[in-house]
Amino acid sequence: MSAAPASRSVLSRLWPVLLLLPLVLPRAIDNGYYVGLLNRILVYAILVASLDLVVGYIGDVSIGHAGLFAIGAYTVAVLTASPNLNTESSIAHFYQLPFGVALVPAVLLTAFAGFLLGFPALRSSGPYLAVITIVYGLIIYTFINEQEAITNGTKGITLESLKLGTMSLRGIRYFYVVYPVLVAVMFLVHNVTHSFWGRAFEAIKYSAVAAECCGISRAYFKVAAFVLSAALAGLAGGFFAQLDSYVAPNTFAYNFSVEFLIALIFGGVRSVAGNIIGVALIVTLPDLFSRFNDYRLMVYGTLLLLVLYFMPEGVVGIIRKVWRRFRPLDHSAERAQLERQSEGINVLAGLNEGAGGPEALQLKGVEMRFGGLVAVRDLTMDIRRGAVRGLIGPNGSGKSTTVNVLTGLYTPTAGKLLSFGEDLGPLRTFQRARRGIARTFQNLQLFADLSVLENVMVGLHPSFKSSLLEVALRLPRARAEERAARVRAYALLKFVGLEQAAFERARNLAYGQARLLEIARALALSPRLLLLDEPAAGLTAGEIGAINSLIQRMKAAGLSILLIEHHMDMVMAISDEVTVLDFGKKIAEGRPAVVQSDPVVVEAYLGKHPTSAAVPA
Amino acid sequence: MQTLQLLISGIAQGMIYALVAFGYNITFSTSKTLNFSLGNFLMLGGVVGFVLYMTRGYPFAAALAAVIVVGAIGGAILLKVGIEPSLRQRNAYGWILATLAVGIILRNGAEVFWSTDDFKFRSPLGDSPLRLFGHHEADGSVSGGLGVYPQELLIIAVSLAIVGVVETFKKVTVFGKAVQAVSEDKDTASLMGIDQKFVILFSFMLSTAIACVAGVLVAPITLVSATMGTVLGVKAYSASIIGGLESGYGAVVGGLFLGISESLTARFISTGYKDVPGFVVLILLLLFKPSGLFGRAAIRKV
Amino acid sequence: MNRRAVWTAALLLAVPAMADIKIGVYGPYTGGSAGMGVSMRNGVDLAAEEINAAGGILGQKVVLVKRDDEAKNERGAQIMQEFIDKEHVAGVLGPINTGVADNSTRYANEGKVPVVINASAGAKVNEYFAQGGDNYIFRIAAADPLQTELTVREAIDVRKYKKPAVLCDDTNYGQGGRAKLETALTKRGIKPVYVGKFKIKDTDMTAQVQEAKAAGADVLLVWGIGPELAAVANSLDRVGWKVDMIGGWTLSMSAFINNAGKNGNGATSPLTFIEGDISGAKQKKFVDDYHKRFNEKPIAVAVAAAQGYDSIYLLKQAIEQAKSTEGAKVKAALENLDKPFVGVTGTYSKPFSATNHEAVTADQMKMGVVKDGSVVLSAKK
Repeated sequence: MSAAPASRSVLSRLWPVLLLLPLVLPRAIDNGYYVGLLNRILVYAILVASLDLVVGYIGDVSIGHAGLFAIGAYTVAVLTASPNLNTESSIAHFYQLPFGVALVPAVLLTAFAGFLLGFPALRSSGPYLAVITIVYGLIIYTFINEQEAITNGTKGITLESLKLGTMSLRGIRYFYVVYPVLVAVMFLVHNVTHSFWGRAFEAIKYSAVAAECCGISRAYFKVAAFVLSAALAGLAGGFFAQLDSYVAPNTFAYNFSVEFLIALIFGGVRSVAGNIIGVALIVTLPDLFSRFNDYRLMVYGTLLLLVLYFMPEGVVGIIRKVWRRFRPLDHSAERAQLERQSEGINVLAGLNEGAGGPEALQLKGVEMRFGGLVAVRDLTMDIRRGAVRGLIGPNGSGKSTTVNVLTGLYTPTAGKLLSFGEDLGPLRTFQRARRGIARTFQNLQLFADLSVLENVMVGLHPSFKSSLLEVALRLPRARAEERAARVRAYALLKFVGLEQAAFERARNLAYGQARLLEIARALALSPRLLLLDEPAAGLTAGEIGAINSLIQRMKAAGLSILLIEHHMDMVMAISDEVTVLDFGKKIAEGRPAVVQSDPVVVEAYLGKHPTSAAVPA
Repeated sequence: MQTLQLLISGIAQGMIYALVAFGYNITFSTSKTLNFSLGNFLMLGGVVGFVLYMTRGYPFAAALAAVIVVGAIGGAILLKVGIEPSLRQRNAYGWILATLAVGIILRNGAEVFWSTDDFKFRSPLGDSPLRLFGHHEADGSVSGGLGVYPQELLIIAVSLAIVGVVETFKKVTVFGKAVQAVSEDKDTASLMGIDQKFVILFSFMLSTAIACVAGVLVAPITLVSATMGTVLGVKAYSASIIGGLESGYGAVVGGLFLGISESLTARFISTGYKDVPGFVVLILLLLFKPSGLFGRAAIRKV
Repeated sequence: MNRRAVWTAALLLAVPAMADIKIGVYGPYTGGSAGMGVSMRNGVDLAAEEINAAGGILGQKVVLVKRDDEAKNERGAQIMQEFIDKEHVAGVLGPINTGVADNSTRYANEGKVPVVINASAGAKVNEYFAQGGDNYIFRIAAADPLQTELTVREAIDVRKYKKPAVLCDDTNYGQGGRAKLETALTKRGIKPVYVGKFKIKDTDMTAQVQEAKAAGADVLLVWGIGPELAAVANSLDRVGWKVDMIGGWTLSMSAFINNAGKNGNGATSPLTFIEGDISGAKQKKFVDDYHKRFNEKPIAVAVAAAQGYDSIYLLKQAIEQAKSTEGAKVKAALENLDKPFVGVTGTYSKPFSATNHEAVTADQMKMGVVKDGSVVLSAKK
């Protein structure tokens, strides 16, 4: 999604082909081997698509999906096995349920396992989480291997071939069973990942902090991703059990997880077509390479390294590059449409409405202590509705800390926070964002590989009301919301003057443009209170002017603003009132002119007036 | 007595995990990548050592030196061919695939160019276990009591020595401080005049050389084969994580914990589940202290 | 199904003098069990070369289609499908691992292609009769029920031990062996005083042998693969416990003998082939040719090599008797061999029937014992 901003993915162009495939196939292939390969590819593709949700979208490397796969496969096996094919087994009880019925608990149980995995995933990241997933997979493997009374341990479970009535569903007929499932899964995954859900996942990956400040609950979406991924893995596992009608624990070992991770990265992450291509390659490569006999794996490993050198975005990345050479990305049609539809949208409309008290913000005796360091001490500060308050002070005086406390990233060690009369204390970051508190960041927190337009759309997250089901099925309400969001995001970009770059990746923006993007994203929340943390830092004079006029317009629309800045002329010109911090304490407060000439303030910035100043020549 | 016996074998096994975990930590702290092929480097060391010492009959010291050199060169190749291209392209997963691929190549290479079988590596200190606290027979021999392989004592001693030397080196020498600087913030270190590329190269070469030495150390008490490194490599991840990926001594603690818990669980609970307590502790630990026992939580300024 | 048979028949009729006879050989040639796989394949290779030098089968050259299953069950299934539907082999030899066999042999039954299992002792063979349909799976290796029975017989009936400890690996093979060992013991009214297991790649079985010793065991019955069994032997030495080790044929692997060193002396197992006890020109030629051809002395896994060698000769004899490579005919020939099959693992008269596909019986088996680095015939009777 993010690699091809605002364009249709490879897969969405191929829909007609995919739907016609099952009609063509039986005529083309009447060979048990190729059908077997095909069925294998289909089942594995579902697993790799599930892995992509976690690895490609949330950005957490999982090398334990074989375990989730195993839960799905074994649940089906345990529930459908019959004693006559498993003589001399240690299994205590044979349930002998039909396959279709057994799939339901398989998916649910695996989803629950994914839910459990979500908790460590919230606390750890990167290689730590990767190792947790390895260990998780190993625990599941150990359990299956040891619990003979349930799983028959290492001897495995043999299943009756799948039948519909008396008709056997093996070979090409199994293809007809699995293929619609794969298509359905791809459809659902594609829809979810190309919606505000997918953007939420990726936002968390690029900057969890910024995502929370856009109203996205990191905990909810991360765990949801693991649950969805696990459910799909369990579904794949269920169908796997009937691929060869036999399951044994040694299939689901660590190496299996590694192979699928390789398939995913090889094919290309965040692409359903890539998932299928990656799987097709690892299923057929051992056979293609059998001429190399025992050298086979060395050749395979070398191939992987070459892929990394030349195709960092996987096979799908190469396909896209080649495709672009013939049909370069042309956004003009979409741009024209967005221009048209966004005409007349006033992004600043209605920002000052809403109930609540006359105070947009009230801090009462707020203290923020980190161990022995007191970053903010006994801070009391108000912002009237519709006012702009400047917050200044030397570096390290606690300004950014104050903003972090306001947005909920830190919990104050003492004091109260209120906004429009509501106590912010019990509210988490994403909840505060949904209440209309938006912010920009001193150190840019953009979603680097999403497009500029998509970055703003993340800010529109709270405006989406569709349920996951509506999104997955691409029902009309979901589609309409998505379209409306695109239009509004474009309008926001026009407001800050960034619309030309709408389809660029955020990471390619110039510094000044990046700062504007943060403002547009913050405005997308339709905030009532806007916290700007050094929005003009590092900008040229012209760029500062642009920011200035933006702030003027926002103020004129009635937005309450907290402005942290070092550019004195800017702060003094626009603020109604200014608060000065030094070493975490408020040392002065009042109208700009008053504060500017306050000797305490001058001293804090410039130091004590030298008594005997020998100025060097 | 029995428990003591189990502790000894657990500690020896644990020190091997610790060495490999130490290897993981070294490259992680400087390059922020986890070398998934490190277990295969352990195998490389074992195989090269076996070929030189057992098959060709060179003296052990020479074989060991050659193993260190081979390991270091291997690490340099891994870095240049696998890791650097992916880091250059800012590919988030590239290095995972690269290290996995190198691991596959190493393993298959050993199978093709050396052998698919398992071989015995004679310990330079002798293969018979020392008997401690046994009772002395009439003919002067000792029976019963604890059986300790001299190689196990060598493993413990050498592993601690390696970790100790490297950690001290990091604190005491200027280059060591450069390594620490690059671990903290490689861009700033680079601005301070530290050649961060060289530091990372050095860390890779050191890490793989250590893994190769670990292979030679462990070979006499296990078996040399093309697949000897796979399981060890995976277990060592756990050791790394328990101790904290950036901590040298943490690797030792993690390794020891894993080795001992395996040994005791196998005996007193169940051999099938012997890995499980280690795993469970790991997950619990990471729920409460995500950066490991000795890791430092990174505080990012927003 | 029908279409395939029609096509096969048509092909066979249309091209009467086809160039080659393809025979599939699958097993683990890389990865953990590769030692056994490679020895088995070498045995087949050696035999195939001899056969081709002597004019092939039915005047046609034998072409081996070799595939590495990496000891993975799914690879086994995929390879079997490739053998049957893509390569159209006349027969299949292998594999080594039980799980691989059990996951793939069903396709051979469906595709009516005979499989001669030459190593996997735990794979389903006669069990297929009970499931209905045709059974195309044969075995010329000592099956687990036979091996376990002989093992227990040696320990209990011959050596008169009363308190056996059972120690096996945690794979399909090891656990299958354990179950059958327990069955054989129960038949004699004995319950093991200790039943334990270890994992593949484990190198320290101190815990297990300590427990066995503490339970008062007087003999150790083991089921596993060479390297781990050697670790068991070494662990016995470490805790200073001198006890007889008796177990499956894998105690004859070089990987056991070399690594256990003197600790392996005395380990006894029932074998179809003992390199240190060869008699007759045929066996001598096999061993000498193997040493020369593969530069390996002694043979790494002699039992697998010998059985591999025999399995292709057996298939050859059946194809020649059937005068055809058509699966059903070869199967019928195997089930009713006119002439005895003379292999390096023994002489087999009517080894198979329509209800039994196990060639190896107790008569063919000898007890081998490890002595100073090689396997010799056991003196105890």
